[in-house]
Amino acid sequence: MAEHTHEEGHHHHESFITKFLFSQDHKMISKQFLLTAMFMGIIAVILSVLFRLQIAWPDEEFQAMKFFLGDSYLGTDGLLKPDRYLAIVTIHGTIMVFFVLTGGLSGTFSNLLIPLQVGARDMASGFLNMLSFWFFLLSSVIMVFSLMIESGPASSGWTVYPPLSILEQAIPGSGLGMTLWLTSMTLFIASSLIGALNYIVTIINLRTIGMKMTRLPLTIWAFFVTAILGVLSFPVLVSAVLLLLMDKTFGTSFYLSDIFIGGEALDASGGSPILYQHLFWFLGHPEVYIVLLPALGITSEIVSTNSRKPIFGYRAMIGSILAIGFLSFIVWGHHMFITGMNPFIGGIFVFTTLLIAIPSAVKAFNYITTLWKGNIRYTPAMLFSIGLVSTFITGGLTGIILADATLDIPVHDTYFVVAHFHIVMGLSAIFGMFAGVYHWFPKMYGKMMNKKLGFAHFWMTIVSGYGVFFPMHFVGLAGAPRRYYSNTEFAFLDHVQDLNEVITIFAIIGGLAQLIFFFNFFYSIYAGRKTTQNPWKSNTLEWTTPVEMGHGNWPGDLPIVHRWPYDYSNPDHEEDFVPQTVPLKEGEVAH
Amino acid sequence: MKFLIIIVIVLVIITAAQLMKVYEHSSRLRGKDEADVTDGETKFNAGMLLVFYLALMISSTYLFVVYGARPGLGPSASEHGNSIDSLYDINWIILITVYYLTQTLLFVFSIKYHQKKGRKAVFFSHSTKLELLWTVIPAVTLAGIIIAGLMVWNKITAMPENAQVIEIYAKQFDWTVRYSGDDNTLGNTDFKVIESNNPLGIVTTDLIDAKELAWKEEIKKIEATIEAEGDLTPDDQLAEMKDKVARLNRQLIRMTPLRKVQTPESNLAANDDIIVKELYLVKDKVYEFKFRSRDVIHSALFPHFRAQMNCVPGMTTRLSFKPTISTAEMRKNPEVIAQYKKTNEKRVAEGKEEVDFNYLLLCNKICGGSHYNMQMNIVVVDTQAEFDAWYNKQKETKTFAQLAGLVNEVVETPAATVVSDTAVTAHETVVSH
Repeated sequence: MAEHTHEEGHHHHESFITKFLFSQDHKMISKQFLLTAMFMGIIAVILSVLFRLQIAWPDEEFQAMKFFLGDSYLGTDGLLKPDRYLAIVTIHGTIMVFFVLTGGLSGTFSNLLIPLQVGARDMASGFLNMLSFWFFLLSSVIMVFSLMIESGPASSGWTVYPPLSILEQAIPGSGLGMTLWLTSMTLFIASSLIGALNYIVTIINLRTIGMKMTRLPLTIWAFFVTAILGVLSFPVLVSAVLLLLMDKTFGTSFYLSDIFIGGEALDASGGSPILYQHLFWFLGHPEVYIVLLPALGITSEIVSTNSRKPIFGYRAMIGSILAIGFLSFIVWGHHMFITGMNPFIGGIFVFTTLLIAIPSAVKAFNYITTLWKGNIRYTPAMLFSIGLVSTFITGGLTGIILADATLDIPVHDTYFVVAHFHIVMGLSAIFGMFAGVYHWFPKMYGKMMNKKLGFAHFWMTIVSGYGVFFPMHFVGLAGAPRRYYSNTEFAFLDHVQDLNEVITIFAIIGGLAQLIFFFNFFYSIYAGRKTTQNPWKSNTLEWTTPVEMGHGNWPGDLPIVHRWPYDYSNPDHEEDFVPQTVPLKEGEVAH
Repeated sequence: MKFLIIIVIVLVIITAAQLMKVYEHSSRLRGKDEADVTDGETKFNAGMLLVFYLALMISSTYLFVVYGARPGLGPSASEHGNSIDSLYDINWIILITVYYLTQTLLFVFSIKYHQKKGRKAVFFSHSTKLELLWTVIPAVTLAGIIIAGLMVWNKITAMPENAQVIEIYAKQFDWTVRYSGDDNTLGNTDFKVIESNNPLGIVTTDLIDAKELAWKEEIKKIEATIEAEGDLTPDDQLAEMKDKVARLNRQLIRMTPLRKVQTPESNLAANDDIIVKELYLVKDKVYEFKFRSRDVIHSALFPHFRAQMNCVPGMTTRLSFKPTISTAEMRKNPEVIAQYKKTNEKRVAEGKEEVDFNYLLLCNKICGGSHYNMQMNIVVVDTQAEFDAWYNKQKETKTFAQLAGLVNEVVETPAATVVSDTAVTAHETVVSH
């Protein structure tokens, strides 16, 4: 009871600044992450539509380029400059991978759901959590600012491979733009690390009474493993980034050797550009799962709730999350099959990479079995989850091609790769994020989002998503390299130019479809229908809080957990859902 | 203009919001709950799922059939490429089967078990048997894929002996080819001796001597200037000059190890190297390509030969393949003829010139603004005789010794010393030795 009054005391002292800006309440921080990520997402989507216009119709002038990018991005002929094309491709990739799918996805849903689903009043450290957001915001601001400087933003691809990213003589974006990129990323990584440590500590220490690890919702398991991956891999990226910064500004040569550029031989010697690739991909591959696992966790929860069935193979799902997490650390070399690495080592990476397909297949089949004989409620969140499973299968299968070093040779760095990772990250992970927003919007804002607009948004998004990325595989198989300003210099690529035009048209439709979502989101915050306490009839703890939650989540004592979170349509019970707080009946066997 | 667009957007949003309000009010009056999915909505979405599923299956089948596994590339033009292509075929059969099966299961279940009010779902939380089934089947299939893949991988990455050695050199934004001459050995190289008449930085003892002499003279000259005008020169210019002297001195020191590795043989190996801007290959001959880069990472992609290798500054990478179809033969391939006919019809309609089939080398690693146009022509000839005719002609003017001006008689015919796009300068210092 003492705890109760203490928590009550909290919300009396909140001013506007402590409530909305420097809030330490995980729910507010989660919304701050979401809004920042949405803003960054808009920028990245606009950039992608612009460079798609360029690829499809390289000889045309577009007013849109001038409108969004301004004159400094255009040449005297009114067309986008080739190096600025690379710049917007780079910033699109960076924003999407890091700011939307890492910061946005984990930042929003780990923050919102970890305390609510494990039954905690807040994160282990509210202050660090706040700091994590402010680092994120600052790094976002710097990244967006870099788009506006005279010499252009970083232009060496989102992987910023040296020496291109170090040498200003090689591309103008490697000057101030690259320095800003590195600064922004360092802050971003700091934000991710602080956040991830907080998530891990909260999940381990602050679970409520009865919330055993084997009673955690799969969302929490996914966030937990994601946070561990982040803590283990982001420090490696920070070191890679700092060494790059030193090569750039202090004249060291960690990544440089034997370079002759701009008419002179550089002094740098003894470094290796390949070292950077090893460091980068040691983060880079776990990063793929940092992006994907939260989306899969969210989907597990939503598929189960809306099928009114327990998730099939709960323990196998946990096992496969752990297996994917572990394996993701020993596969980074498959990004480097053609760097001249020893073929024997290449062979080992083929083996480890293809092993990941096994836990992934288990997950896909478990989702499908969860749907079997369910009573499926097509909420927008559920539709996006079905879309996620579909794209996860498609993208996973092409991954098998790319993991096989032999098959990777002709398609490495072509549009086939672009298609593959956009289907898993650009569709699956984004679908997971949309599903999460539709599902937990009532928890965030106490309002409902409009269903019909949600349907329209889903159908336009999945149709245009597949329309963009499925044909793209064939552009890659035809041998079209990624990051080409235009394919017109190669007559043999004329063959797939009509596909490129189709892709761009779908990209425009897909971009416009997101307007429906943004409208629905903001409209619903202000004028949406008020929600009930448990609108989806869900089992997990977050739906046991009142609709209007203060800081501290539960007004009284913390809930006590008696069962696993997936007792849907349990034959021992009348209702088709049994919240985790309901004690076992006499004679009922715990799962 | 921008202002006008923004006003229009704001008006559209306001209109949409008003329409939403009307809708919200009417549905509130009808007593609908936003969380419940009505029967009508269920029917609509089930129908949409069915339509989408069919469209996805039909359009992917269309793409598989029309574009196939190697759209527009024709048959593999190299020996190892055939193994890669057949491995692709096996993998595609497996993957496409799994794709159709799993997507079908997913969509059929999603549609069939749609919500019916009053029905309760089946409580089915796990089955060890089923889970084992879909752990073991993927594991076995993947084992097959891994074994098949690694067998081909080991075969195609093995370096053959006695292959013809050719160097491919990348820089922003073009490719240069160096044939190793009659001795089949490439001369040593070092980036510090790169000059416009020595674009690949080939090293011989003579060249080191000439370089050292030139640098020493330059140092002397700068030092003399500092001596004479030092007091009058602005500080930053003075610092720049001193910097330059320091750098030249460092370069001089760094010549010593270069000189140590030079032998009479390596000098000879360098002097007969031939430097050209086009890659000529003979059908059915095994080649070993050595890749180097001058500035940033490039990647040599040979799409028709199913080969690719990165070019990394500071290291040499290697790749071997055997071309099996000559350019002339490829131009007679019915698949290629059909494709180029279509391409040319389109090009003529767009007012572009017609093209013939050609093997090409592309850059496939982001390398700067003109990355998209870093290409080189490859010609595969049918017989050694055809190759020799071309090669002997190159030998007359494009050996390293001639290009770098290390052979006196060639200097007399200066026209011959020009490497296609590089202007020849600083000749005198080298020749004076």
